Amino acid sequence: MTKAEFIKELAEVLMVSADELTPDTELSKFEAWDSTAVLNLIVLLDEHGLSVDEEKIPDCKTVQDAITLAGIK
Amino acid sequence: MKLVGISACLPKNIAYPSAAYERFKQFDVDRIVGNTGVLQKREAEPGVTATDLCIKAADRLLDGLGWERDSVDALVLCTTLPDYITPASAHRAQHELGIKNGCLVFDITLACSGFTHGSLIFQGLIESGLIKRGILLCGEMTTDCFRPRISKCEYRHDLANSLLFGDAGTAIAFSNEGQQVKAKAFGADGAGLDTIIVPGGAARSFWTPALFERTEDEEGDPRRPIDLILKGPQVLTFTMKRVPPMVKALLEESGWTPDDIDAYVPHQANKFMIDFLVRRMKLPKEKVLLSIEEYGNTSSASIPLTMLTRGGEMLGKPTKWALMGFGVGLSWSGIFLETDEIKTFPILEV
Repeated sequence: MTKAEFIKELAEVLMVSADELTPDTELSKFEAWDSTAVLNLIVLLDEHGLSVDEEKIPDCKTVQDAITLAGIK
Repeated sequence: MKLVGISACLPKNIAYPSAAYERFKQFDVDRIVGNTGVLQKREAEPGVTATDLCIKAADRLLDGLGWERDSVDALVLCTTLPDYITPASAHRAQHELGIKNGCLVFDITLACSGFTHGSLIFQGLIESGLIKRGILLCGEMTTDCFRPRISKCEYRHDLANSLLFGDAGTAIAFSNEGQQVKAKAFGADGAGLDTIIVPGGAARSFWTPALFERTEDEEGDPRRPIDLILKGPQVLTFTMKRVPPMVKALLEESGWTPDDIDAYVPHQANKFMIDFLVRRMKLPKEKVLLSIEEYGNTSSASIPLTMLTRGGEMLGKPTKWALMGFGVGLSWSGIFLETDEIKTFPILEV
C-alpha cells in the first residue's frame, strides 16, 4: 500500500475528500475522527494485510502519525 | 445431544435510536447506528429482570414441547445480571417452573459466548449419561442497570452501549435423543478481562456510595464504576484474531465445507463486526443470519433469538448450523449442529 493509497482510504473513513488530507493535517479537526473511524481504520489496514496496535490508533494526532503507525514508507 | 426446541420472551417496549436525538447530535447517533446496525430493540420496563424473561420463555417451551416438569434433569441459566448476588437465578426459575427437586440447577456468568458455552455444557452432561433432558436459559436485561435506556442517556460514553444492547430472554431444550453435535470449539483469554467490563458492584469494588459517584475518565466523561465499559477497537481485534481460526477448526472437525452449512449464526455483536467476519472468512453472505437490526445485541440470547426469528423453514427440516459465540471474558466458543426439526413457539411479550 502506497502513501497515496492510504490517504485515499483514510479520507473515506473520515468522510472527506483526499485533497483535504496532507501529512500535517490534524485528525481531530474532522467530526468523523471517532471510535467508529478507529474501527474502520483497523479493518481497512487488516484488509491490506497490515496489523497495527489498536490501542495506539486513538493517539494518532496527524495523518502522518497514522501513516507511520501503519508502517507505510 | 439433540436441540429440541427454542422459545423467547421479549419486553414489549420497542426503543428507537431517534430517542437520543434530543440530547445528542444526530450525526453522532446516526453514525453509531450505521456501525451497530441496531435500528430498534427492546427495553424492559423497571422491575423486569433477565430471569423473569427467561422463566416466561421456558414456561412456554415446556408447555409447547409437552415435557413433564419432572422430566427436566438440568436447568442452567446464563446471564451477567442475575436477580441476586446469591442464590443463583436458576433456583428461582426451577421453583417457578415447578421443576423437580432432583434437578441439577446452576447459573453461568457469561454474555456473548453464553449460548455456545451453555450448549457445550449440555453436550457434556448428556453425552456423559448424567442427564437425559435439560433446559438452558439465556437472557440479558441491562436497561437502567449497566447502561441507560436510550431516552434517558445523558453521557457520550454511554451512548453506544445504550443504542447497541437490547433485552431478551430465551429458553432452549436439549435431550439425549440423538447426536447432532458435529464439531465443537472453545477458548478464553483472561488477559482481555477489562475489554468488556462492569468494574463496580462485586467483591473487587464492593458496595459503597462511590459506586454511584461519577468521576471523569481519560476522555473527561463522567462515569460510575457500575457503568459498562466496552472497548470497541480491542473487541474488534480480539474477534479478528480468534473467530476465523475457530471456524476453521470447526470446519476441519466436522468435515463440512463452508458451502455445506445452511446457516451461520454469529453472536449478534454488531453489524460492522459481523460484516467484517463475513468478508474475512469469505462466508456466503446470504447464509449469515442477522437479527441485530430488530433486537440489538442481546448478549447470550442473541444466537437462539436469531435462530428462532430468522431460521424460517430451516427450523422445520434437516439443517446444518454454524453457531459462533465470542466476547466478554474474553471468551469464544462454537458449535456445528445438524438438526432435524427444532420446535419453536411464537415469541411472548411482557
